[in-house]
Amino acid sequence: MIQFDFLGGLARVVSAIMNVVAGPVLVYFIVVNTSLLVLMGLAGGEFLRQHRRKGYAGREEAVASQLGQGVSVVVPAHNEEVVIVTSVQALLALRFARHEVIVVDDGSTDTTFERLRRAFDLVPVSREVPSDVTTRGAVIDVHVPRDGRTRLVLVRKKNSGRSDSINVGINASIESLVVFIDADSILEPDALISVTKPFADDPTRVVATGGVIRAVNACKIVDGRMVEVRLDKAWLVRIQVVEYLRAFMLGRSGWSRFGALILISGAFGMFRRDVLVEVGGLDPDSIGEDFELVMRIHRYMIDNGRDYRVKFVAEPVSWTEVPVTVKVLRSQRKRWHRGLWETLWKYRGMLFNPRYGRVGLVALPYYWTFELIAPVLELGGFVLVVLGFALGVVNTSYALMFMAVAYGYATLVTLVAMAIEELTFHKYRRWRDLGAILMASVLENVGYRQATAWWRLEGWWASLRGRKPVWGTMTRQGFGDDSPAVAAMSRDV
Amino acid sequence: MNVGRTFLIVGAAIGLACASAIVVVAIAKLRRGRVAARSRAMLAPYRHSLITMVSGEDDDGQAREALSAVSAPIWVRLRPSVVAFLPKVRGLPADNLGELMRAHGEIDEATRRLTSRSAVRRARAAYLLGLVRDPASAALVLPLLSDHVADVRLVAARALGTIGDPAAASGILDALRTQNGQIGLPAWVAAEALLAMGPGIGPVLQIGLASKDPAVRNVCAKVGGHGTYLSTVPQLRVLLATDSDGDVRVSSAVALGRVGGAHDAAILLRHTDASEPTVLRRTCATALGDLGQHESLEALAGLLADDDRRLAERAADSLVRIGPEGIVQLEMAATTGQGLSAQAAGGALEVAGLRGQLAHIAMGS
Amino acid sequence: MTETVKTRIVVADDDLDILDLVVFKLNQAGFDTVAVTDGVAALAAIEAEPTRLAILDIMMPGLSGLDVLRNLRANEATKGLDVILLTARARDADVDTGFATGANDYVIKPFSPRELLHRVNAVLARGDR
Repeated sequence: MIQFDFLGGLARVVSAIMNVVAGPVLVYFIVVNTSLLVLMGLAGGEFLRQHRRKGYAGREEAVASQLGQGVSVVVPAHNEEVVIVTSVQALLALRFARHEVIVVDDGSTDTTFERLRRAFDLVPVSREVPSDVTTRGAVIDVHVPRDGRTRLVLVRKKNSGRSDSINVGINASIESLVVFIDADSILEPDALISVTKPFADDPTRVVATGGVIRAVNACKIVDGRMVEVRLDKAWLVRIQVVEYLRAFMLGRSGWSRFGALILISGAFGMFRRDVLVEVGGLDPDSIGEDFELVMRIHRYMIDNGRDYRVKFVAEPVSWTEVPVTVKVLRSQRKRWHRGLWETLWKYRGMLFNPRYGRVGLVALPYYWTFELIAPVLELGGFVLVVLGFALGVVNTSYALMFMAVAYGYATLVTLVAMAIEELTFHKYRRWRDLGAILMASVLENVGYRQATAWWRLEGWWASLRGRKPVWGTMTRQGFGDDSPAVAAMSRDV
Repeated sequence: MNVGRTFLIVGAAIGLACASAIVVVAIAKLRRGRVAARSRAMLAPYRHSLITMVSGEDDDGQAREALSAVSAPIWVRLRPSVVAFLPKVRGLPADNLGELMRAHGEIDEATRRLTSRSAVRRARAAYLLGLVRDPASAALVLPLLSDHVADVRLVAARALGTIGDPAAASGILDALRTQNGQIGLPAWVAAEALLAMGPGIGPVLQIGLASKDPAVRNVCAKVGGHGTYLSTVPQLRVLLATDSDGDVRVSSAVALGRVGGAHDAAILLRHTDASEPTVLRRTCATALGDLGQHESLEALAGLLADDDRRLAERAADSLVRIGPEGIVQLEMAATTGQGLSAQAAGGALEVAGLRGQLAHIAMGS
Repeated sequence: MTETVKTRIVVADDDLDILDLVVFKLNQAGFDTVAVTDGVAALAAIEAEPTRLAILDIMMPGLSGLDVLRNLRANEATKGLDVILLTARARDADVDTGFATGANDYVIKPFSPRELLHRVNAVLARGDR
């Protein structure tokens, strides 16, 4: 009766749509995955190049540099009591000739400050924090270690969010290069040397750099340093590991090589301080603040006719905790996509605008199509095919073809990323971990991809409807760190 | 159906490619594991000889002989350890390591590779020659300063620095020239290389300070101050006052702070004036602290109230570094000075106290 | 019968090459050397038995050489322990900090093993009053 009519009607609708999009859908997936392979080829080449460079990079000597640029490491922190001391200690121990660590306590309500105070023997000083970048959260006080020489500065301020806290950190920093780091990130000991290299090689033009970020969950950390890279047991985490491998293997490196890198991860980005001040720091009202900053820098530099470069360093520099629950993951992906949408929309004037060179003519259109609209096409295609197949509108061959091109090809792309990883950094030592990554590459397509596509759409929709953004809280698992050093440092003074 | 057959082809292609990727991964991992284990086994007996030689305990030369005589396959595995030690030691052990490299033909090979078609090889070769620090290599590496690949130029400059032959100094300055829109060399790399060459480059610096190229003047100013080349002082004064390039003026200010004399206090003070660019003012304020002359005291105290708070901070820090009289000025400003002045002074005194620098007072009075 | 007790030196560096090198050199010179790769182990080794001298790298994971030094100087039992910092950090500011924190000597890498030995002897001699 009604049901029969409904199914028949649905079948006709789906059939009509399929007649139009059957070909294009396949084409879309082929194009997407092929472009990923191309980017990966570029990236792979770049990785190999930078890998070979190590033979003459002279890392040992970099630490002894007298005249090289210094780096200010800005760490915004809100309720990070679990990890903050280990994190700061590891940051101070980074191998670099000249750097300082600036922790900005964004109105924490837990023991973040107290732990830092005890561990580093902090005393208050009446140091002024300049206002080079406009900030909102008022600075409460400034602390430094009692010896007056350890280059750590803790700025406490009223709670106003991560971006504003970073801006305060920029103001407080002294060195000419600034890097933003999340409190829960573990850095490679040579991270600063790696990421400052583009600046060092081309000090007048390079304005921003970023490096490879990987998932730290379940890795063995001692004293804030990576001791052994391990794979988490949860499949949700494993799949994210695979995602990160792919995203950093291809996206960033390839674009950097091409000269149109528009996204540096918020978890680790290094910028020239003077440029940050010129463009006004991070935008506290933006959701995709890291993306927005880089776009703003591109526009500013091009509008002002400046010769500049944004580079990616094809080396692992930072390890960060990825969400372990579906709830947190969902909220993260919603937020990311919302940030993507809002920033792309904000800078829509640059889209297809020849004035903005490769950024406007290649990178932005790519991001609009293959990042922003992608979930619509991915999910739409999937639903259509599944529905069509169930309704008998779509034949088996086509359905299989779709699967092959949408998911089989995607798996191939991921496996190539995995191969590049194994050939260059080979961080996963155990066979079973490699096997698990292989499985995860396949499993990703069975539900995960579809789910993230849906969540991305949710985020986009929320933005279009003008809903207020929700940041959500990451429940810190901590590093599971055996840190006798921290205990040794927290002797009551 | 057509689609069906296409699918089979496509499916098979993808499947095959996936399988290949997996195989590549597996093979790479296997090989690496095997290579590492074999290397360790082969090298174990030679580690002791290497350590003996590197620590300078090889009086009878036995270790050196043993290592020089190793076969090629063992040398290939031993080489990375030897290369790893080179930048870590100085003196006789470093010379011995260099000799060991020579005995195995590495120097000759590197010299040949300086003209290789591959940029990576050229760079590696230059790096190696720099590590070994044989003065004779300087002339060979010099031409690489005009290589068309930026990386190679960089490595060459650094290598010339570690080799330390002053004859290469003018070559490095020439390499600063911008080529095809690319900078020849980053200024600080050139400066560090020159610094490593010692007192002999004074005349070259003097010529460089008069160069038409601001990049060259800049580097020479940096080096002049950092390496205490007193002969450059008269020119530095002129550059600070009149150079058209902002970076050059800043570098000259820094340099004057380090190598200048009593007369230069007044010069540096002049350039802390509000009419000067911010960077220059701040640099001069810091330089006055380096200079350490008592003539600057009152003027520096005057800067504590300046609108540019970073400048005030630097002036306060300079007062601390000048010594007890500077600290007295700060204390006066902290207690009797007006708001901003007192703030800057108080801040500096606090940090000085933390560092134990206020002990000066106790001893001075 | 007099038995000469070897002077005990603790060496801390996360670079195994340096560690092997320094330990070998000191052992050849007749010292009793203990090698560790991080700051916490250094403190433990120093406190385990009577130690005359510590040679510390600065940049180590966990506790840095400077942290160890501060710990030693703050502790009554180890206040007078001779410490030589052996590090790649060569800036004036770093040298200042090293001495200000209480080091007896500061050796910059690349270093001469022979010179290091001389400095060790000199520091120990100064300590023997």
